[in-house]
Amino acid sequence: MMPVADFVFLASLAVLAWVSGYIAGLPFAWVRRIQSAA
Amino acid sequence: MSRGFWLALNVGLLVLACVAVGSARAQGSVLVSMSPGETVFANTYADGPVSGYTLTIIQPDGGGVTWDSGSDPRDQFFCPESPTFLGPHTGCEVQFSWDAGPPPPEAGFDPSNTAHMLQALFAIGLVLLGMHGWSKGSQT
Repeated sequence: MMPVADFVFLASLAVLAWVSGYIAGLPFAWVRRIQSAA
Repeated sequence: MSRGFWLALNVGLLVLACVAVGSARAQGSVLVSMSPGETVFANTYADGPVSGYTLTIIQPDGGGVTWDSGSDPRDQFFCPESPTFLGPHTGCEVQFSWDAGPPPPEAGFDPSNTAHMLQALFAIGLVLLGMHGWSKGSQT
């Protein structure tokens, strides 16, 4: 049986991976918005 | 991709993570070759917080010695350089066994090991999750 701590750790890794990708993608959205506004 | 697909992917990855960790904590062992003249100490892999490791040295003549976390850390095994009476000496073998925690680094990546493959899949899943986050972040 998997310890709860391991599950929390791996789930945190998954969330961190998603959030990191999200934050990394934000500047691309900003640039596109600025370009479309110009 | 539809929202249902990504939800299924995320749930699947979490389930995969559960299986990966459960498998990695199971027992396992790996054989590592030891060069003639090399020395292995009993506490190399059995000290500190890493417990549950057992280190078994298989000598060329078939004999062996086994250490675990309770062994004297000063114990050591020297793989002889000179030929043995059994014939040309090609080295010794060290067997790392573990019954808890992740495999030792010496285990390397073994595609035939289910736990290793699941861990690799989980790592790939993390990359996919990152790509999904990127996709969402760049569309805001």
